[in-house]
Amino acid sequence: MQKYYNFWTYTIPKNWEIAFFTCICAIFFVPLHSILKYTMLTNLIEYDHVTHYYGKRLIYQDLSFSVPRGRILGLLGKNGTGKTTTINILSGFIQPHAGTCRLLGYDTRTMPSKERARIGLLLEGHVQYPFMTIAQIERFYAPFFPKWNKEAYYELMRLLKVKDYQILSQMSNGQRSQVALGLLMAQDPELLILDDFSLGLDPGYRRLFVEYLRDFCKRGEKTVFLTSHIIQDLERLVDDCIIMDYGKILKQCPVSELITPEKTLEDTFIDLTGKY
Amino acid sequence: MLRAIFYKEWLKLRLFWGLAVVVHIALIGYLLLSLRSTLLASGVVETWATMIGRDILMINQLTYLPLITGVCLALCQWLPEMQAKRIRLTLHLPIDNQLSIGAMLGCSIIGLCLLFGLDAVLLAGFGQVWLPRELVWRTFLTCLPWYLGGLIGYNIVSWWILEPQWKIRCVDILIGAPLVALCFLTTQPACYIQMFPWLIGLLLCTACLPLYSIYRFKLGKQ
Amino acid sequence: MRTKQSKIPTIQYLIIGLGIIVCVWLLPALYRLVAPNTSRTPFVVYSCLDSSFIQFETINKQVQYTDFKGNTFTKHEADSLLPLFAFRQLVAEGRLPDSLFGVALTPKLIQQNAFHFKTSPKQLNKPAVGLYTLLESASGRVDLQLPPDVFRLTDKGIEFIDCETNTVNKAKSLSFSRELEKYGFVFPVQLIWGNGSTRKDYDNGFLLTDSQNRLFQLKMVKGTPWVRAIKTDGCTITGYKQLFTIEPANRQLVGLVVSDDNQLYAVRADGSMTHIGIDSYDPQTMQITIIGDMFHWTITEYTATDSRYYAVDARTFEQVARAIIPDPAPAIKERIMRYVLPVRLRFTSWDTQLIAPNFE
Repeated sequence: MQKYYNFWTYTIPKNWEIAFFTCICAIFFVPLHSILKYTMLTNLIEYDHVTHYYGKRLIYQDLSFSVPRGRILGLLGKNGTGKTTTINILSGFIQPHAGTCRLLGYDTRTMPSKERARIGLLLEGHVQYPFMTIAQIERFYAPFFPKWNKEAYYELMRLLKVKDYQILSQMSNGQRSQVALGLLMAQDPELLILDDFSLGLDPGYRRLFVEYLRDFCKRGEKTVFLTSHIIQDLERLVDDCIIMDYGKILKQCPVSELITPEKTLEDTFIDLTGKY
Repeated sequence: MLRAIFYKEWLKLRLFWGLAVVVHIALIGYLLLSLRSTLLASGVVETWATMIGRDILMINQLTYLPLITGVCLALCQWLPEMQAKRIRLTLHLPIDNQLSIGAMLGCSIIGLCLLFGLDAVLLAGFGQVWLPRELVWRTFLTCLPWYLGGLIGYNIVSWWILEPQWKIRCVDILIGAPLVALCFLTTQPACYIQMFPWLIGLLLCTACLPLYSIYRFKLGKQ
Repeated sequence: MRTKQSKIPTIQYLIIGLGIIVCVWLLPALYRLVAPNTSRTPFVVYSCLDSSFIQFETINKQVQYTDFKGNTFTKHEADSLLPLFAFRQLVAEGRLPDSLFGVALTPKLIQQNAFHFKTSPKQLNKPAVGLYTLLESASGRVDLQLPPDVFRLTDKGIEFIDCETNTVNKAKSLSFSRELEKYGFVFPVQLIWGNGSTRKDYDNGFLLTDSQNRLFQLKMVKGTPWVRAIKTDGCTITGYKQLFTIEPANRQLVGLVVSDDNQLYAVRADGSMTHIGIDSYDPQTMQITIIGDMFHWTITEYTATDSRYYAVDARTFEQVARAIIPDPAPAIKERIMRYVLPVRLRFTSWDTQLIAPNFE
């Protein structure tokens, strides 16, 4: 039996003491480990030295970035620079050739399926099920998400003045984007991944979308990773920004550093990437 | 959660199922009415003698209906999912991907079995009024490979649609089409009796294939 | 996720396996389509005048007449050598002999004694319907007519089903079952064969064997059962493999039966049985053709490896002549295919209508 030579005891521990200590450790260690792991997790997205090819075509090599908790990061780049590829790798729909991608501390390739409830995903073009009505799509998604907030969804639908029985396929792009946003708000995820949310939206709906999203994120301290091809909206939304060109990151910094009284974010983007 | 998957599939496919039930009932009704009119016009004795002596069952119009139903179901179920890669919505759900896709495949297979069961009940129920049980059983044995062909056809076309790469789709169809054709090698009644275990094995094998396409989709083979 | 998807490589092997199955099934079929097998089998008839087999073979769209010794004949000569086979041509040319072997020949007599029988494994290897039509054998009318019922076999008898009502005619069923039992028939029926077609001159009913492997004939005469136990005196038969009911024009035979040991027997109209002098006949694997006249039967058998020709006496069924011609060696293209594709899979076959996987 091992002797303890420290300040609180010089006695040999009894068997029941060892058993008790072991039990306490066992009871508290696992949940504590999880809690500590989560609370100490500062970066909800870690994109670590990722290289990806389509066939023999290199999309990018050794790309790294991270998104800290509570920040909204916008990925900007011209068409074909790999924005959607990045979204697909983050969402687990593509496995990178090299490097690792971690979401909420999990490698996307091995992430337990139930953890996906903590990640909200908006597909390019606000793709949803067009054959469902407003009520049916809410009813479909509700059982999957433990924190489902039905009211948040219907509140947005009421603001939009759409009826429960309206079918998505018969709605405008703008209305569909709000439905998709409403579903994300009802899901109440910690991390949102939005692929080109501005696609197909007129300026009015873009503004509406950005405002609702900003309010939602700020209220709930959400972490967001988004891409957009319309840069002017992002100034009001994103905290940090990555500007990508073919195969590399041109700039990664807080948006505030890129905006001056003379220059908008869009001007800086054009300066960096050339006219588009 | 599986109930939600079934709910979504029902919303997506209810029009298809409604139409399929109508078409199946209409064709079975037509076959039964044709049989009745033949019995009345040619005489029961002569019709039975023809069916027994010449081994004719008067159900040829039914041959490809289950296959057409299976193929149409696969198209109606998976084309909307592959449009704009909407399948990603299902794959992002916090549920095991194999389970969610398996549930989608499973509810279609169950639906097809129920629909085909309805055909069997109608054929056997009305058939046994006019025909001896041997001819009813022979009709069932003759139709069974066609119905298995419908189920295998559904699996193969699902596999084909879900495959993300066109060049692999071509290979899939080269393998899959002959496997479906295996169910339609003869028009002679009841000649598949030794093949049923093999066809059921093939049905089980092909049921796994769409999961492989999903696996490839998730690998990013696009 | 990763652990669950470890099943996926198994599906890869499954797809490869299915691909191989499709290849070993379809590639040989495709090869045969491109390079078809053109071998033909000649038509052979025994000449009672020449005591040899005369074969008719179409080469370059011309029929050639030869015997197995290599002699070639003209069409005119062949007709002369086969007077009973080509009697209509000889009558037209006025060349039909007045008599043969002391028997006066008339076209009617020749026609009455002509007999033709052909069957193949493909016709036999198929699932039976399980329903049979027993015609009225003595209706008093020239043409045969369909009965109002069909019958099925049960463990304890035979069961007639009235077609109009689709119900069992219990009285008739009982009467026929009892009559069979009266002759010593022990149910259930093991083998049965009959020809329910009305397109024939008369009806010989059914040949059937009981659970004790005894052979019986069943007919319906004026609506009542007519049963006869077939006498197998002088024949050592332990069991039967196949029965055929036949209705030759001379009404001297009732059927042909094949025993367990692949011997062919003729069942005479008097209920006796005679062995037919051929080496063997396996109905599951051999195709058989019998062309008979008043003096001889020419029996041709096609097996997987050879063609066998027999001539037997039409009265005693003793063997008169015999020739076995092995099939020619496989053509070079066939050998190439066997080398390139050593394993082949077939689902259909020349010898059965049943669909089943067969590896070669």
